[in-house]
Amino acid sequence: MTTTYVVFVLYLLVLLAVGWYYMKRVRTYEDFIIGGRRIGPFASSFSLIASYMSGYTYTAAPGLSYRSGYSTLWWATGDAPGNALSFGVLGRRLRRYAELLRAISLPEYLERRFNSPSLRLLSGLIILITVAMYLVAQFVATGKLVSVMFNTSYLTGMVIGSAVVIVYTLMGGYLAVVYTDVIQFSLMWVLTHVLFWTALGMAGGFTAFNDALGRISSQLIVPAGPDNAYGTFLAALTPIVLIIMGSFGLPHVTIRHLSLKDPRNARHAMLITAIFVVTFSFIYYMIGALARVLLPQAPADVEEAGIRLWFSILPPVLAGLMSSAAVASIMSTADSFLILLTSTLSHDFLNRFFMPRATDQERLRVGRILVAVLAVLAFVVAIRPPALVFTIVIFAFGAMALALGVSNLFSVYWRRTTAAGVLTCMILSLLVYVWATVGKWNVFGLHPFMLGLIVAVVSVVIVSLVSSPPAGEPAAVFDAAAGYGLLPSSVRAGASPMVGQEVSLALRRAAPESARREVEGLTPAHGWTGAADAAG
Amino acid sequence: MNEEMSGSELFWSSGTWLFVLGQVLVLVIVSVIYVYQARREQEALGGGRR
Repeated sequence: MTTTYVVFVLYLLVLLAVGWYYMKRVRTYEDFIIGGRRIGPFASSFSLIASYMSGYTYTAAPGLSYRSGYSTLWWATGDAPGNALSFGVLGRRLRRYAELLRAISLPEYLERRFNSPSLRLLSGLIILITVAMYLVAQFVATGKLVSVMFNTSYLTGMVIGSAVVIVYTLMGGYLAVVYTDVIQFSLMWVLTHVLFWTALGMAGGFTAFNDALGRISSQLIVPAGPDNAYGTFLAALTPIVLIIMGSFGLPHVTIRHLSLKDPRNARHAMLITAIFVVTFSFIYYMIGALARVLLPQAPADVEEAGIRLWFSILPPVLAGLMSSAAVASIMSTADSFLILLTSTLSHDFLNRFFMPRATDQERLRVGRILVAVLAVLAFVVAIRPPALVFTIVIFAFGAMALALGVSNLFSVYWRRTTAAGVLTCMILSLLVYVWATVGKWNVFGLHPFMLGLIVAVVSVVIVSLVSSPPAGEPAAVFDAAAGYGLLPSSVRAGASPMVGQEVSLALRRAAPESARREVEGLTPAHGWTGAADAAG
Repeated sequence: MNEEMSGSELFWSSGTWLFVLGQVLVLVIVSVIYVYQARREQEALGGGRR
């Protein structure tokens, strides 16, 4: 156990060193909140995967496959297409739009895309509520995981895990979050492979493992799973759609699109993500099924199956590293939530509505203070977490996938989408999802999420069609965002003067005063001067 | 389901292997989109930098 401790402490020190390193590189508010929008495709990809894979990866997921065998892979199937296509299908356009509209957060993008402060408020509120619950849940998961792995108290476990996240996020902001994510996912990917292949070898190989699993129950092998849980088309399709839509709506995923160095990097990030998620998600799920075959005794809690497995089959150094990887899965999600909460509260509420004239350094200071305050608040709540915290978090995933995922996709792919359409989509889909879940509605056997998805799509289409169509400028911005060329260069060079002119007009009319000043070249703070040139 | 089948036989006969094929398909689809977007970018850059 001493070796395990040493390895784990060394890992935490590396994370703190990364935070320290990036503290000196955070010079502006935009650096702190979104990494100065200079993150390359590899770091963006690993950061997205790491923040997407939460404490669920090494607890609930192996627990599911321990109970249900291969049928659990219906949940894993959506990981790769969701994560990868979020870059290629949504991220590329979203990043171009964000640059055109000078938006550094999702609520800000929605406000400027539709010229609607209400959308910023509503989307900001959805993010604040859901992400706050998520952050508390990650702190709770850290406490539980560290206490199980190192035989400490829950509180000690939580203090160790959470304190490190808080300190490096406070120091290095988004840059520290991204580059610790790179380390964390690298560790997760390598160690999970080590665990999986070692366990499979001990089970006698793939055929012997399947035979052993089949001897426990043939239902663990078949795709329909125990009790025919995934035996219908809809039952099998729902987890895939839910996971894919989650990737289009989760704000800690979309922030990776906005922080890309260049919109063209989105396709590189898409390919890298596909390769690394395809070679990861099935493996981490199946750890539980391997544990079912290899562990002589069933764990008291099936969610500890993976942890019991690596402590029983790996040598101490590797078990220590594997434990670090498991904590990494939680830390990499918690840090994203922390910076996202800060971004939403400071950028989308305080700066937008209460202190629009604050200087960059004032915003940076407020951002850092908010990280500390929000972290302490989440920590205090996590000491005695609400009983339903994990249920609410699972529910929140669906809520974000519906309210934000559908809106995001329509906003970048359908020119005719209106603010009224998006507002209705968000409100109606959430209401239906909540009511269907709480009231246990059974409409044609549809899962509440699928019901909410249908309502979201139908409402955004119908309300957009019956409301006034977007005026000329937003349409021009839409076309510019949908294109493939070098957007800033083309606008600046005047290769497409109409677009450049209309983009600047749209910005002048749609953007708030602070953004207008930037567009007019008075305070060029967001890296691209193309619109400023065009506006001139 | 035939209870006399071994687990490995059941893996192939019940279609569980299709999960793996699905992931291979994801890689193929992503690669196709990657190449398509690369070509569109090339065209856009070559044709008037738009």
